[in-house]
This record gives sequence, C-alpha cells and structure tokens, in this order.
Amino acid sequence: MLALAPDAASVSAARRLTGAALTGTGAADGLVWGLCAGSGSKPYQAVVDLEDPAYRCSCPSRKFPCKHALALLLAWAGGAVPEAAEPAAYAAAWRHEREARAATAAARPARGGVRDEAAAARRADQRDSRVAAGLAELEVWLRDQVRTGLTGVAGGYGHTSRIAARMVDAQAAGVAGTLRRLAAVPASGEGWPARLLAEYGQLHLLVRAYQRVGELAAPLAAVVRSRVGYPVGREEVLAEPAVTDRWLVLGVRDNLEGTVAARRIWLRGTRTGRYALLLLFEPSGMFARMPGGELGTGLAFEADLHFYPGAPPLRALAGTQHAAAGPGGAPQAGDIAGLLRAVAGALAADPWLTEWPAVVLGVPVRSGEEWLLADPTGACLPLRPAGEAAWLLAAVSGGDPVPVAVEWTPAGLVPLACWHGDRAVAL
Amino acid sequence: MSAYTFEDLVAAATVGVAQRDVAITGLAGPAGEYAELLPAGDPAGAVLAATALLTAARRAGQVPGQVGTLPPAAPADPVPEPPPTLAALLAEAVRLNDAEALAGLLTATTGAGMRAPAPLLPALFDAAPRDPALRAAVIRAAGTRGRWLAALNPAWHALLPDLPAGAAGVGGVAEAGPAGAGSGGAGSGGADPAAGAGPARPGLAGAEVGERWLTGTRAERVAYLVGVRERDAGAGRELLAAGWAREGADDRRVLVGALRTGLSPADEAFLEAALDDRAGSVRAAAVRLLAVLPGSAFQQRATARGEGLLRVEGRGRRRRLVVTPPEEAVGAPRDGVSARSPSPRFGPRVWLLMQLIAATPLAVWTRRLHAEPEELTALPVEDDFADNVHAGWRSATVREADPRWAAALLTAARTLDPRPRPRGGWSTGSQLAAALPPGWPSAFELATLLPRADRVAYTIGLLGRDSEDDPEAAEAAAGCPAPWPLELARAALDHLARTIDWRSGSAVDPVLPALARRVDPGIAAGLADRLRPLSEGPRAHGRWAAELGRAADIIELRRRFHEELS
Repeated sequence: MLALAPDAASVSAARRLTGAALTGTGAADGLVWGLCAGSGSKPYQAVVDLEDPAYRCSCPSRKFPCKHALALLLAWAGGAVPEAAEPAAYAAAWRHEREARAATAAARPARGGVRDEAAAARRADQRDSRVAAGLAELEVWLRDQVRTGLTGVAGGYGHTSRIAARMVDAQAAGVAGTLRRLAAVPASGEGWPARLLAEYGQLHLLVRAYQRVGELAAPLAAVVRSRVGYPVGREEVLAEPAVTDRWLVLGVRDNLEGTVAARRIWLRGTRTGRYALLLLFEPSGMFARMPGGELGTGLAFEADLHFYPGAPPLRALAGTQHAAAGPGGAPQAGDIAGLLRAVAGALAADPWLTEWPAVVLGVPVRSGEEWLLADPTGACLPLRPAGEAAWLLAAVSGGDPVPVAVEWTPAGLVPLACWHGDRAVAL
Repeated sequence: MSAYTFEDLVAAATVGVAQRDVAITGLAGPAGEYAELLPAGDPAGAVLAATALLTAARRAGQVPGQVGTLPPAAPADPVPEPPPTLAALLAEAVRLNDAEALAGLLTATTGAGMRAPAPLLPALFDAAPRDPALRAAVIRAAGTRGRWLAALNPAWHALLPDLPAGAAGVGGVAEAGPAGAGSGGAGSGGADPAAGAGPARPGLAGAEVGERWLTGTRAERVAYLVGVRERDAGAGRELLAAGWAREGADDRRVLVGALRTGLSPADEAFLEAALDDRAGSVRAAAVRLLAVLPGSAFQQRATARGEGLLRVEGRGRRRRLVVTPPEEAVGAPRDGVSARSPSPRFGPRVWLLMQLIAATPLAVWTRRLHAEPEELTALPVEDDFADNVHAGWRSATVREADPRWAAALLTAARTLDPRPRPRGGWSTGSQLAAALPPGWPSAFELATLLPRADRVAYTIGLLGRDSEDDPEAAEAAAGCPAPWPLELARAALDHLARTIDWRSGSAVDPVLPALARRVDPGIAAGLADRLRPLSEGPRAHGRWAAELGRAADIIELRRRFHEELS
C-alpha cells in the first residue's frame, strides 16, 4: 500500500496524522473517508476509492495522493476505520461526479465518430471536386500540346513543371508524378515525340475515364482513382481477403531518387502462381531494418498477402507471416507467348499498366549491341537495359534456357533474376 | 488518309493539329474497330484518344521477334562447380575485391577438382587484367563455360588465347583478328607475307605462324616466341633471326630475352652476334643469357678477366680476403663491362672490380679460392672492399639463381650488420646501395632465391628486429609466398603490434595485407579474432583501423573456405 505514496516524506507525514488528527472516519461501498485537521480552520475532507484506487482531498497539496489520503489508508489498513451503513455525503457526491465523468468519456468516441464520418465525407467531396477541376485543366493543356505541336515552345525541358505543380494542388499526385517524369522525354533522344505523344494519350485517357469514374465497374474505378493519385489506407487493404502462399522473391529494386527512397519487391506465389508487388518506403533508404527489408532475391516466405483494390491485383501488403524467409528454389517458368498473353490480359484490365512481372524459360541472345531474351521456340523480346545484367545472365545460362524473372515494360524486358540450378542470381 | 497509324498521329501532333487539318476516320489494326468512338469536330481530342487506342493495341498485341537458330550453347564441362557454401564464399571474395586472396581461393578451387561458379565469371573476367596471378587463376578456373563466355564479349578476348579450348566448336573467335582475312590460306610461306619466303620451320603449322607473331602486341609476340621455343628451340631462334634486321631496339631487347626458354649452346652464335648490337640494352640482354650458358666463350672471357682479383690470405682468425682491383680502368663494352663509373661514390677501378666479379661465374671462386660459399662470404675483406665484393657476388647469384650463395650472402649481411637498413640496402653499404644503378640486386631479390623454409626463417628474422620503421622487413614479408606457417604469422603479428599507427594518413605496413592473404588458413583460427578488436578499439582510427578490419575479413574468409573445402 505504501507503494502508492509519492515519496518517503509523504509516508512519514501520513504516519504522524493517523492519530488524533483523523476524525469522522468511515468505510462503506469500497469508499473510505475522514476529516483531517490541517493548518486552516476547516478540516480537510479526504476520500479514497479502494476499487480503482482513486483519491480526493480538499487540501491544496499538489502531491498525489496527499498525506491526508495516505493517513486515511494507513488507518483503514490498521483497522482503525469503522464500517458505516452508507458513505458520508461528500464521499458519495465525489463518487457520483466520477461516474458521470467516466460515462461522458466513454460516450465521446462514439459521438466523435459520427462527426468524423460526416467530415470525411465532406473532405472526400472537396477532394473529388478539386481533382475534377484539376483534370479538366489538364485536358485543356493536353489538347493545347497537340494543337500547337509537340516541337513548339512548350516542348522544351521542364515544359510540364507548371501543370505538374497544378496537379499537386489538385490532389492528383499520381498524375503530377507522371507529368514530372515526362519533363525528361524531349531530351531522351531520337523518337521522343512518339514517346511523349503516347504518354499524353495515356493521360488523356485517364482524364476521360475519371470523368466517368462513377459509371465504371468497381475494379476499373479503383485503378483510375489510384492512377490519379487517391491514396488507399493500410487498414482498407488489410481488410481485403488474405491470399496465403509461399511467396518467392523474384527481384528487389531500390529507387533512391526522390525525397523518399522506395523499394519494390516482386513476388510470386509458389502454389497459386500469382504475382505481387510490395512497396517499402523509407526516407533514409535503410530498408534492412524495416519489416520486409530482409527479403532478398531468391528467398521465399509463407505469408498472407492482401492485394490493393483494383484490377489486375498486383500491389499488396504483407499481413501475417507464418514462417521466416528461407531459400526458395527455382520457380515454374513459361514462354514468351504466355508472357505476352498475360500482359494483354493485364492491359485489358488496366490500359495504363507499364510493368508486369513474369518468369520465362529463356536464353539471352546477342544481336549487335542489343540483347534479346529468347525462349526455346525462338520467340524473343528485347532485354532492357542490356549491359552487366545481360552478361551475368549469359554466364549463368551458358546458352541453354534457364528460368528468368523479368519485368515486362513497353520498352522491353527488365531482367530481375535468373536461376542457376536451385540458386537465384539477382540481375 | 484512310487508316491512321501511330506514326501518322505522331507526325500530326509534332507539327500541331492547328497547323494542318486532321480528320481521323479510320485507325490501323485492331484499334480500327473503335475508330467511330473518336470525337468528331475535336481534332486534338481525337488525336489523343486515337493515340491511347493505338498504344493499347500495340502493347497488348505485341508480336515477339523470332531468333532463327539459337547460337551454340557452351559445351558440357566434366569439371563440377563448387557446392553452394563454397560458391557463396567465392562470391564474397569477389566482393572483398582483393586480387591475391581471390586468386588463392580460385587456385584452391581448381586444386580440389572444381571450377569457378558460372555466375561469378563476368566479375572474374573483369578483375583478371588487374593482377597477373589472379589472371592465371581465373584462366585455370574458367572451364569450358568461361571460354564460351569470353568468346562472346570483345572486352574479354584478351583472355581467350590462354583459356583452354576444351571441346571442339567454340574456338576460332580468338584468332579471327583483323589480319585473319588475308592470311587464311594453306601455304606456309604465304601465311607470313612480311617475312617473305622464310626458311622452313620444322614442327610449325605454317598457317599458324602469321598473325600473333606479325601483328600482335610486343607481349603477345614474346608469348608466341616462347611457345615456339618450348616446342622447337631451333625453329624459334630462326624465326627471330629471320626478321631480326627489321625489329626496333625495344623489340630486339625483349625478344632476345625469350631465348632463355630452351637456351642451349646452339644459341651461342646468335647471342654473340647480338653483342655487336647498336643498342646497349640489347647487348645487356644477350650478356644475361650468355653468362648462364655453360662453357660459352663469354663465360671464358669473364673468367679470364676475373683472374687475380681476389685471393685468400692468412689462417684461422686472421684468414681474410684480399682484393686487387684491375690495374687499368679499361672496359669491355661488347661484354657489357663499362669503364665509366655511374657514380662519384666509386672510382673507375672499383666500379670495374664490381662488374668483373659480377660477370665471373660463381663456381670460379669456390674452385680458385678452395672454399665453400659460406666460408667466402663470411671472410673479412681487406681495405674496406667488402661491399663491392659482395655486390658483385650478389649480382652473379641472382643471375645464376643460386640458393646456396643467396643464403650465404644474406647470412653474411646479417652478421656484419644486424641493424635495419633503408630499402635496397645491405651490410654497411647503404650509401653504396643508393649509388648503384638499377639491376644490382637487393637483399630482397636474394631472398627470393632461398628454398621455402629458409625464406620463411629469413623473413621471421627480419620481422623480429625491434624497429618501427623497417622497409626491409616489410619488403621481405610482402615477398614471402603463401602459406605462412604459425611462427611467421606470430612474428608478423608482433611486428604489427609495434608498427601500428592510428594517426590519420599514416601508411599501412604492407606486412598486414601480406599476413591476411598468405597465412596458412589451417592455422588461422583465432587470428582474425586477434586483429578485429584492434580495428574496433577506442583508439582505432584512420587507414590502419580500416585495413585491420579488412585483413580480419580476408583471413576469416580464407579460413572458412579452407574449412569447407577440407
């Protein structure tokens, strides 16, 4: 009981008070009360609620519990406090006060929740109209680009910075990011007008889709909203049904540009064959210390994944992990035709998609300065970028097809990893 | 225009639809079905929408390319790759980026009947040119997969000539140099146009002679000539003689050196002729070979010139070497004996004395003076000529690669003056050493001639000297080959404990990396654990701290590799 005292001085002071200084004591219903003579004319009223425990005293002491309440407790513990039929009036009043306060506190979150929901709906409406207004401006801007010509004054480097900033204001972060990326296209070498126009076409399609987002099927609407830049809450994703599998890490890519370093972890379920993409964000780029940072190419782990809404499902969050990551072995590998079918299917659901993972049984083939990835039928697609990864892939393959994990992009296949027997080799 | 293609749209958008009327009524390919959805009366919007349609059609309808026939795969290699644990350790060695440690592990791998793991080949090929020992180890470990891979990448072609061809069908790339087209004929003479119709070369495939010999770099030509000498020394000499008159001085110098392979009295006439060469460096190269050609006229001339220079006088403790320098300072330029002293530190007669002793075969001294090398080198030398006499003997010892004389001279140097000396110095003659032109061997060069056990003992002796700045000990340790036994490792650790210097910018004692790379991995347990706390201690700082940590990593890696391998 003395452990409740704030300090040793309070205890010794309380011991001195347990004698004649304490009057009118009583105990009932878990309350102990008493009057304690102080320096003033009126004795202090001390009450202790034994159940919580809680203390109340009319003294001005800032120590809590004060020496009077402690003295009361000491007296009660020593059997010096008589049982009463009912609490003294001041003790009962204090208990009522406390109960009322507790009820108010309990009620507050419920009432607040209603208010938050209403506010959230209001904020969502505000966001929708801001996005709509911003995208309307973007549509005009896109038409202007095509009307005045891509090689016009607007085609110089940084021509997208103003409209990108406008999209940030309009809370269309996804579109803003795309526009900022496009600033580099006019400086990207031969054929840049074609690349720029293709990107403008995709943006225009997104603007038009957003104008009708209410009419679209839910998965496509989710894609449109996410591409525009609507965030999806973590809880919302984790509420999606879990896909349990042994997930093999196909590749890990860090992007240290930008304000927040991002790591992309490509996965494939060894039983379901499903692909998934985990994104980790870490301002310092020290991914090793965060959950998921231990996942390296070729490892596999048994876990629940929750996919973000939208089609085709790819980005996911890891939920419950059932077993630690260990060596994964080589994945099942398909051919180039299968890869292109999968990409076509994915594009049918999300025409803005520019990357899709696949595992191909392939062999790298040199063609001038370029590299191709060919499957055993001879069907091939360009590898991008070539260089070191291609030489490593060539060394591992030895001219015979091996399982190669790639990221399909419109410009070619980006190699992620290949398998040397059972062992993964990151590319 | 009936059906717009993507390129048509790009052309329209590049100029701008305000400049040119665009009315899209049809789209090429599967997107054509949706052309009617394009907005009418909104050319810019129509171009953007049509772009999206064609982009989707192009991406979703991508047609793969077709490789006619896949290029030949690497032939199967009967030599296995190491198991995963060893492969992982080799990968770690590649990351550690220490050429000697990596070469050691690769050599151990091939020694255990295995080859380099395929995923490491690109990194190994990239690293190989940096270090000759690593290059040799990589070449031995590359296997048929390595040869197949190196043939694909021009950046690795320099390795190809030395990579074993293995199975048939993968060669050919290496020899297909620029000159290949003109000299592919079958005739032996025609394959070597620059040499004209040279003499017949027995034992050589005619078509093979040309390219590397005629158009190769200097190093490639030397390697080629050495190869020919190994198979047929006479043919090699004739090949050299045929083009001799057209070679530049630098080429003549290095090519003559190649005659060391398969050297025999049959080469004497050619080398004697080379003594009349215009270039002193070519004459010197010929002298180096003639001097080790037993019974050559050169040796006889040198022996005659050395006559009477040294004699032993006295008995017992008064036994000593008496020196008589040549009466007149007359050189023999043809035999590489110069009358002009390179330094004011020794007069012409002393300089001549040194050269003449150096040129005399060592066996002459033991025969003439009736004493063993150990006795001769231990004798006091009258008139302060000790350094000059020993310098001559050292030079002859290195030329003849005589381990017994080397041991005797090193022992003498230690007994005469046990103090540490600056780089290249010996005995009391540090000033003399500084004055000598290059080519006069240092103690370190003598030590390289010692048998392994003696060399270890010699290195331990130097490391044991209580000195903080001892370049000689560092040089000896840096040159002492692997594996270092326990006693040498202990001596090196004690030495390092004295030389460690935490000040930033202070150079790291080369004994440290040598210890890390060469300590016998079988006795290295605990060694890394002794080094690592040093690198992490409260005072640890600067390059020493970094290098200590690195040395501990290398030792630990080599120890684990050895453990896994055995």
